[in-house]
Amino acid sequence: MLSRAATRLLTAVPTLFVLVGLSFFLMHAAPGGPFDSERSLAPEVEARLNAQFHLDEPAWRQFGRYLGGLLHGDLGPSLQYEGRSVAGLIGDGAPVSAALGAVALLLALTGGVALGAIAALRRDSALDRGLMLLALLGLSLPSYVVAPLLILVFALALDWLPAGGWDGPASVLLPAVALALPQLAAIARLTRGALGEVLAAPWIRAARAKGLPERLIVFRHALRPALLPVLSWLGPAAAGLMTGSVVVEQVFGIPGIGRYFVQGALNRDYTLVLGVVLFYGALVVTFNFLVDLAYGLLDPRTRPT
Amino acid sequence: MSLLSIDQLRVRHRGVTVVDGVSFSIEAGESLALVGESGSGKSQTALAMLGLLPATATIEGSVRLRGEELLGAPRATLDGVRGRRIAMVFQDPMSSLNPCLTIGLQMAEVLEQHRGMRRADALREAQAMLDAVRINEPRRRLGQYPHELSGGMRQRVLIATALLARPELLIADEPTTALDATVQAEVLALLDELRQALGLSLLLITHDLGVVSGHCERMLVMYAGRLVEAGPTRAVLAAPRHPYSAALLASRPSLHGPKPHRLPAIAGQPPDPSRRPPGCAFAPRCAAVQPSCRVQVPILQTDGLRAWACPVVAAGNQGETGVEDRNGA
Repeated sequence: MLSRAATRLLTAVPTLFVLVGLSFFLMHAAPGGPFDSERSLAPEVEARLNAQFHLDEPAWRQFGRYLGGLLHGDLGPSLQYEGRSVAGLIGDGAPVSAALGAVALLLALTGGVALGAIAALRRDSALDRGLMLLALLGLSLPSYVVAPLLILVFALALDWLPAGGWDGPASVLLPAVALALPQLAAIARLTRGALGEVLAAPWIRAARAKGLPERLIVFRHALRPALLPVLSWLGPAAAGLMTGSVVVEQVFGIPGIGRYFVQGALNRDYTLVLGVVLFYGALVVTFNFLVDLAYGLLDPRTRPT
Repeated sequence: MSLLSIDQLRVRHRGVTVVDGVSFSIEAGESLALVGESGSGKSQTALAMLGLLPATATIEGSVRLRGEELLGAPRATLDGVRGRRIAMVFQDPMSSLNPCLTIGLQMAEVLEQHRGMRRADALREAQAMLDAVRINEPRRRLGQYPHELSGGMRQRVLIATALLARPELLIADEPTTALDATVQAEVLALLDELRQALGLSLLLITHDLGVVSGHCERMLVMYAGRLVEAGPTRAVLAAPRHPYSAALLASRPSLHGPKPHRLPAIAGQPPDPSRRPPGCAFAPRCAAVQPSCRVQVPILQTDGLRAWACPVVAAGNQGETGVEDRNGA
C-alpha cells in the first residue's frame, strides 16, 4: 500500500513537468509581452526591463532558468505586480480561496448526495422530477447570474448576510453557495444515477430477500458503491473549488487567487500564470491521489492484495 | 395445512403476462422442483411469492404461508418472512453478494435482523454455518470480500446465509447453473444433506432435469407462464403426460447408446410472452397437436396424484403423445 502510494506520488513529477513545459511555451508563443500596453514605453526602458527579467534570452534558456528556480522552490517575481513574488501572491490568496472552497465543497457534497439519494429513492415521482429540474437549473445558471441574485435576495432584500468582503464566517456563506451550486447539482445528478443503478443490482434484491429493512438496504448496501462515481468526480472538482473562481471572488470582493488566472494571462504575466497553473496542477494531482486512496476504502476490489 | 400455497398467481409487466394462473402448494419438509426453459416464468413466480418484483409489476392471486397472505402484505410483514421463514438463494453467486461488504457482515446482518443478535454473536454463528457448508478456514472467510472467493465458495456462502435464520422453506433459483459440473454436484449434495438435517422444505428452480431427478420428490413443469404438468418426479420422468414434458425429456443428451449426430431439440422456439398464441402455448411446437388446442387453453386435469394440461392425453395412455419417449420407460 505504502509503496503504491509512493509510486503514485512519484508519477506526479513528470505530470507536473509536462504541465509546466506546455504552459510555458504556449504562453511565450502567444503574441505580446508583459510590458506591452497602450502607452508604449521608451525602447531603452523596455529593453532594460526585458533584460532584468531575462526576457531577451531565447525561450529554452528562460525555461531552464525557470526550472532551476522551481527546484529551489522559487516561482520567480511577478512581472506585473511590482516588487511581489509569485509565491507571495499565491501564499496570500490561496488560504482565502481554499477556505471558501472547502466550505463550498462540503455544501456540494452533503447537499448533492442527500438530494441525489432522495431523487433516486423516489424515482419518477414529482419530487424526483422537481429536484432534477432544479439540478439542471443549478448546472446551467452561470455564477455571474447566481452570485448577484444571492446578494440581491439575502443581502439587500432580507439583510441576513453581508453582500461581500472577507470578514468572518457570515461573509463566507453566500459566495460558498454560489461556488457550490453547480457542483452540488452535478453531484446530485451523479448520485441519483449511480444509486438508481445500484438499487437495480442483483445483490440488492438478494439483500431484500434476506428481510433487511429499506434503511439498511440503502445506507449499508446501496450507498457505498453508489458513491464511487461521485468520488471520481470529486478529485478535479475539489481542486477547482479550492483554487477559487474569478467570477465569484470578483462579485463578492474576495481576495483569493481566482483572479490571477485571468489577470495573469491577460497581462502576459508569465511567471504568475505559470505559478497558478503549477499550483492548480499540484492540487489536481493531490486530490486525485486522495480519491484513489478513498476508492480503496469504499471498494475493496480496488485494494492491492 | 400446506406450508405454502400459491393460488392463481398472475404476474404482468407492462401488460405482458409472464406468469398466468399458476397454482401449487409446498408441504412441510417437501422438496419440489419447478422446471422450465428460461423465460417460462419460473423465477418470476418465485420472486412474486416473496414480493421481490419491481413495483411496476402487477401481481394477482394469492400466496399464503401457513394461511397468512403474503401478496400485498406490508413491508414489515414481508421483512419478517423473507430471510427468516422463507429464504432464497439466487442463480448467480457472483452478483448476489455485495462486492463492498465483507462476507461476515453480509451473513451476520441476517441474525442481527431476525434474531436480534449482537454482531459478535452473529459472527460466531455465521462462522459455524460456514463450517457446516464445508468452507475451509471459515474464520478467515468472515473478513474477506466476495471477490476473494471462488464461485463455488460464494454459492456455499449464499446457502449458509440463507440457512442462518433456520427458515422453513428455501427457494433455490438455479443455484448451480453458474457453477462447473463437479462443484454443482457438491452443492446439490450439500443442499440435500442440509434439507434433511434441518427438516426444511425446498423449492428448486431449474431447467436441468438431471438435477430434478436426484434431488426432488415432486416436480412442476412450466411453459410460457403456465403450469403444464405436475406430479411425483419419478412418475413424471418415467412417463410424462404433457407433450412438452415429454419433448423436454427426449431432448436430454444420453450417455448411453450411439452418439447422435446432433443433440435432439424441440423444434421451434418458445413464444414471445407478449405474443403468446391463443389456446395451448405449446401447440405450434407440439407433435400431437389437435385443432382444438389452438383455440382453447387446456385446463389442468388431475387424477389425484398427477396433473397435466393437455386434453389430447388421457390418464393412463400417455403413449399417445406422439413424441417418442427415448428413455423407453
